[in-house]
Parts: sequence; structure tokens; C-alpha cells
Amino acid sequence: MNNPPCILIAEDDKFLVKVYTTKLSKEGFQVEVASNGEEALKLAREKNPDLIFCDLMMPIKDGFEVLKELKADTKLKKIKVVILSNLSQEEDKKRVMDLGAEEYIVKANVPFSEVIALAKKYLAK
Amino acid sequence: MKKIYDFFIGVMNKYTTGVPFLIWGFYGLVMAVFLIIFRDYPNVRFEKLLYVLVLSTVWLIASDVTKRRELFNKKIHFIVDSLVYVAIFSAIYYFTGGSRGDLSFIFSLIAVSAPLFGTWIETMILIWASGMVIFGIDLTFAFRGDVSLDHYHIGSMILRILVYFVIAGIIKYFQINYLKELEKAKEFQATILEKNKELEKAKASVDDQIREKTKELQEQNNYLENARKVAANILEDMMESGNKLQEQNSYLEDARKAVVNILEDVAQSEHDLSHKTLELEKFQQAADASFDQIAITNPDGIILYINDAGEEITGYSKEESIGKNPGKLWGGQVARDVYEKMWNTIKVDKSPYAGEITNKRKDGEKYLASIRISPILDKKGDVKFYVGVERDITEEREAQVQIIRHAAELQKANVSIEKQKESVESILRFLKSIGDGVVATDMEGRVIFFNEAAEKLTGAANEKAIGNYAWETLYYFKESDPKTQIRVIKKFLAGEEKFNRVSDRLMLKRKDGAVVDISFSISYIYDKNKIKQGCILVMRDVTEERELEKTKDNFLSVAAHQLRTPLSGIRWSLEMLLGDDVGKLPEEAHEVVENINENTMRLINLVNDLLNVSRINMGKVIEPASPVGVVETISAVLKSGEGFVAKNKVKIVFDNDNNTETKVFISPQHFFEAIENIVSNAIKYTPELGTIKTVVSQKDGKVRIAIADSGIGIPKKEQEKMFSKFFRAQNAIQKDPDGSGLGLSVVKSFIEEAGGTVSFESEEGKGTTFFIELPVYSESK
Repeated sequence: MNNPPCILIAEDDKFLVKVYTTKLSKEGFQVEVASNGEEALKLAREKNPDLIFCDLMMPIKDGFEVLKELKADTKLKKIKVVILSNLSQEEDKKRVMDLGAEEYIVKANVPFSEVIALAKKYLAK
Repeated sequence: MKKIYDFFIGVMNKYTTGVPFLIWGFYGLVMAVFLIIFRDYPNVRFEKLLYVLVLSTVWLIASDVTKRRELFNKKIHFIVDSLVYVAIFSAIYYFTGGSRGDLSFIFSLIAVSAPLFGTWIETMILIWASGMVIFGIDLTFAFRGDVSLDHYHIGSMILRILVYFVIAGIIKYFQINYLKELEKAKEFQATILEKNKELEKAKASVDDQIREKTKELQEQNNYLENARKVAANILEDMMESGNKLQEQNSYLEDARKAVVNILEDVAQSEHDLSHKTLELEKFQQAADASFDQIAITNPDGIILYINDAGEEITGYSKEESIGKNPGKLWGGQVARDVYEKMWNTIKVDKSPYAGEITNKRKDGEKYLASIRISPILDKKGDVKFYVGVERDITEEREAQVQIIRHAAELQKANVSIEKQKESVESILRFLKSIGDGVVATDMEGRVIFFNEAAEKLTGAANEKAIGNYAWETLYYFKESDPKTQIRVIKKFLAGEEKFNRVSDRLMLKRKDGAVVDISFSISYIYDKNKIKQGCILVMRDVTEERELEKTKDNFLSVAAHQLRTPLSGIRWSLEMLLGDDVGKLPEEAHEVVENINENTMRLINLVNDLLNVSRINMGKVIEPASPVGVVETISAVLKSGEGFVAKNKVKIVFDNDNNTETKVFISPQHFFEAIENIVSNAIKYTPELGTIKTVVSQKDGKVRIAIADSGIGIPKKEQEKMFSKFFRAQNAIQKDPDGSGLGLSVVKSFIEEAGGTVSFESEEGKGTTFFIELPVYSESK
């Protein structure tokens, strides 16, 4: 494969974004960043990423809406989406899984190495 | 040529044995040889050699070897042989002009052939005789001056004789061998003859056996023949009997037909009889079924018939009554003029009489009877029978008297009831004013009480609810499944569910379709004898409360989220620092950064614990429960903590006591966390090389998980506060300053939520054992 796998990060916290880009680029992935839901959808259409790490609490459009629209789009619904959030409610998790996300991760409860492992897992398929 | 030869051979065969010819021939050759050897002797002449050769040839030809099968020692043959030879030879000699020498030659030949003719002695004698003859002949000729008998002459003669002996010996030897062969042949022949004889004998004996067998068979045939004759006789007899039977059968058949005719007649009469009997029976049944006494008497009042009721009322049996006058039995208890009046009516007026009369039963008891007698008239108008119907009205009369008495009492009671009604009404008014909905039912589930609040809550009218089944008015359901009605009262009364958790929550659908969040409690109503009479359900609209809870929950979630966001940022950044992702971290800095990391983890854990506890506090319905394998979960917990175990250098022992299939009904997540919490405490507070022992046991439908450590234990004075939130015992704080103190309260909530209990036993410095007990889940539920 000539092109490195492309991961889209939808996250409004600038600091976390820095962590994502630094660590994931180090692993050899190409990283695209959106800081709100609207931007996330736009970038998804343009760049056609292989994997999306999506936050839930974002301005303009939140993660739920983004996920919903992604899965409703015939072209975009194939892209795997992993939700990385700091909400931990059962209802949120259920809602997200029902909408078609691959996994639901609570950011504060996992080390970043786990995020890398997830990236590798879903990009290997 | 052949014919002459055959004839010659034939003659020879018939009258001689062939063998001598051969021998003669052979001798001839020998003589020839002899003559050749001795040809220089004066008397040996070439002509003699010729003679010998010719003769030899002739004898050889004559001997035709195939004729040798003739037996050799037939004496007659050999005499004839000799004569024939001599005759033939002499003839030939004579006609060929032979001399004396030739005669002696002849006898020499005889001498030489002597061995043929018999035994050794015979042979020697013959040779000697021939020698003497020759000598005699020579002597004769010597006397006649033809021959001089000098030494040479005698010597040659003796030599000749000696030669004859030798040759004879040789020839004899061969002959004997030949004879032996012949002997063998003879023996063989004899054996064959014997065998033939034996065969003959055998054949003879077989023939005998066959003859015997034939005789036996013959006998058997005779025997069979006799048997057949006997059988034939028997058969004849049987045929005869058969014929006789046939005769009897036809006789029986006639008899049967006659009987059938008779039976038919009988049946007919029976039928008529049974018909009449049936009618009679019907009447009797009707009469006996009646509760009233029915009696039939003749015109003089003698009882002809009385029914079962009559027996019961009067006490006299049918047998005792029939043929008697009732006046003598149960009657005669009242004044004469009553009877007179009765008789007058029925006998003279010939019309029915009705009245009341006192009778006496057999046992002496008096009773009041309502009586009605009807006369039955014949065509002429005379009384044929009387039919009397009586009823025992003693009790009826009694009852009537009672009723009147009761009516008076009731009147009195009525007054007090009125008063009671008033007090009940006031109670009801109290009940009505209760703010919560109250519904009471009987044990069937029918509503007996339905207060105003209940009306308001359900939107159903009190009148509609009362008397009907509760679930027709109350539509409860789970929020997750609005289509399925949960008949709370029905389930409770049937004992299917206890609903004894403080404030069970369900949704209620009002008559107008609106939905209300309900919290309710339900319990049995007992009467003063502690017997269940029904149940009472109290419900409350908690919609607002729920809203409040939701708001609180939302707030907590948001708060948790807000706390976690910076925390996850800090955590991952520290990870980058420690992982040298932003340049090499100096040695001195490492320790500091590690410290920050630890504290960050503490904060994250605290946030999680706080969120959990608050949720539990609010009574939020958390994870759904399902059947969970006890041993499975414990094994998973132990496996996930392997690293922690290794780090603390403790030993883990797990004894599941064959409860591998045991299940409990609890949220899998909560069960895992509860066990994990206890186990991790056990490991945390146990010094190195200590042991943590987990035992699963089952008793009385409950499963018990005992987790025992050999750790610091819990001081007695601090034990009662163990499950309180944020509480940590002093020695625990010393061992591990990081704990939040929330763990055990969470464990307690999780386990109690599933209907279980958590407890412990501990001794400071020795160790602690925690017990988790949960009801066993069985598939049948």
C-alpha cells in the first residue's frame, strides 16, 4: 500500500488533538482533524478516511448526530467509527452502539496505548 | 509257407511241451561248438556238424517260444517228447545214412537233454544210462570188429560223459531258476484262484444277506398289509358311526326347532308382562321421588301402598304399613270430630279433603302434617281407592315462628347498624382524603376499595373499578415494554412476585392514554384471625421526582464529563512524557512525572466511584440483571488480577466445591465489580506471602462466596462503619493511603440490589473473611 491509512479525529479539545496527532503520526498513520461535528462530516466526505475516532460532546453537531449522518450516507456508512468520549452513561453507550459505532471508549479510563491498539485493530481489517 | 509252419507248431504244441525244443536247439548249438572244438578227433566228421546244425535249427524253429506257458512237468508229455525226438531223429538219421558214430551221437544228445526231464537224480540217471547205452553200442560194434576199444576210445567216452554232466549242471541251474519263476507264476495264479474263491464266497454271503433282507422286507410288507387291513376296518366302523351321528343331528335339529317355537311364545308373554311392569315401575319411581307422603288405601282405609317418603315421615316401614289402618299407626292423635269431618267429606261427599293434622311417628315424636285425601271413583261412581298426600310441616311452622321473632330483633339491630355505618363512613372519608392512590381487593383480585386519589391517578371512576378485577382498571407496564401489561395485584395475590422492594416503580397508563411514573407498595390484608382477606396497593405519582432525578443525573454526567476531559488530557500527556514522545525525559524528572501520573489515576478513579455511588443513591435502574455463572465470574476476576497478585506476592486459592454450574440473577457487570472489589481489597491488605482463599458453597437455595485473606484485619471498633461511604479504617489508611473508601458501599449496593447480603468476619492482625450471599438462580423460573 502506497498510501498510509487515514484516520479522521473529531475532537474539540485542542490539547487532546495534539496528543492524537503526535502519537498516531508516529505510528505511521495519516491524521485528519475536525474540531466540530460539521467539519467532521465535511472532512469525511472529502478525505474518505479508513477510520474515524469521534468525540460525543462537540459544538455545532455532536457525536451522535455525526454518527447518525455517517451511517445514513451510502458512501460514508462503510467507514468504521470508534466513539471516544468522557461520558459514561449506559444510555449513551447503547445509543451509540445502536447507531452503528464499532466501540465506545471512555477516554479518561484508558491509556493512549489502548487507542493506538484500537487504531491498529480496525485498520488491519 | 506260414500254414505249414503253423500246422507244424500246432502238432508240436498239442503233443509236446514247447520247452524241450528250445532246449534241444540250444543243446544242438552247444554240440556244434563241441564238435568244432573236438573236430580233430577221428570220429568227428564235418557232416555231423552239419547234422547238428540242421537239427538244431529245426528244433529251435519248432520251439516257438510263445508256447512255453504249458506246464512243464507233465510226465506224459515228456515221455512222448522223448519218443518223438528219438523217432524223428532216427528217421532223419536213417534217411541221411548215418553211422554208428551218429547213433552214439543221438544218445549223447539224449544225455545232454536229460536235465530237462526231472529232478537232479533223474537227470543223472538218464545221463548215466545214456552213457552206458553209448558204451554198450560201442562195445557191440567193438565185438563186431567195427571199432577198436582202445584207451583213447574209452577215454573219449568218459570225457564226453563228464562234459555231459557239466553241461547238464549248467542247464539245470538255469532251468531251476526258470522253474522258480514258473512256480511264482503258479502261486500267483493260485492266489488269484483263492481270491476268486473268496469273492465267490463273499458274493455268496451277500447273496445270502440279500435273500435275508428280502425275506425281512417281505415280512414287513406282510405286517404293513395287515395293518392296512386293520385300518381299513377301523375306517369302515368310523363311517358307520358318522352315519349314526348324522341321524342323531337331524333328530336334535327337529327338537331345537320345537324349543325355539316355545321360547318365542314365552318371550311374547314376557314382553307384555314387562311392559306392564315398566309402567308400574314408572309410577313407583315417581311416587318414591316425591318428598310428600303418598298412600293409597282401599275404600275402608286399609293401606295398599305407601311411598318412601311415607316411611320417612311416619317412621313405619312399608311392610309395617301395608294392610293396616293409618289411624292405628300414626293417626288417632286428634279429636274425634276432626276424623269424622274428614271421613264425611271423602266417603259421603266423595270429594277431596284438605287440612292440617297432628300425627305421631313410630318413635313417638309428634309432628304436624298438611294432609290432602282424594277419592278415586270407578265407572259406577263408587269409591275404588283413596289417595292421600301428606307433608310434614312441623319444621316449616317452627321456622315461621322464628322469623317473626327475628324480625323483632333485627329491628333492634338495625338501629345500632345505622350508628356503625356512620363511623365506617367517617373512616372512609379519611381514606378518601389520602393523597396517594389506594386500591384494595379481595383474594380474587376484585376491587373492594378505590379511593379518590386512585381515581385521579388512573382517570377511572370509582364505580367502574369496584367489583371488577383490579387489572381491568390498572394498566401497569415497564417503561421498556409498554405493550405488556403487568398485572401487579394478580401476580402478588398468586404469590408470583413479592414486590417488596421499597417503592417498586412502574408506569401507569391512564384511561385517557397518558402515562404516569408510579411508585407503589403492596401488602396483604389480614382479618383478626390472621387470615388473608385480600391485598391493598398504595401508589404515588413520581413523575416529578423522576424528572428531578433525571436532572440530577444529567448534572452528574455533565460534571463527570467535565472532570474527565481535563483528566484524560493530563493522563495522555503524562503518557507521552513518560514514553519519551516529546524528547527524552531526564532521569530526575521521571520520578516526579510518575508521581503526577499516580495522582491523576486517583482522581480519575474518584470521579468514577463518585458517579457510580450517586447513581446508586438515586435508585436509578442500572444494568439489567441476567443469569450469571458464579464460578465463571470469580475465575475472570482472578485472571484479570494476575498481575496485581504477582506484584503483591500473595497466593490465591480457589475452591468451587463443584458449584461450577451455579448461577445467580444479577447484573454481570456489577457482580464482576463487587467480587473484584473484595478480592482486590483482600490482596491489598494482605502482606507478602500471605494467602487469599475463595470458597463457593451452596446451602438452602443460597450460594455463598467466602473470600478470606490473611491480612491486617479490621479493628473491632471500626467494623460497624465498614459499609459507610467514604469510611476507611485507620490501619487500612496506613497500608494504602490511596483508597476512596467507596468500594464496599458500592459492593453492598450491587449485591443488595440483586437480593443478596454482604457481611464479614475479621480479627485485627489475623485476617478478614468477606461473605457474599445470593439466591441461587434456577432455570425453572
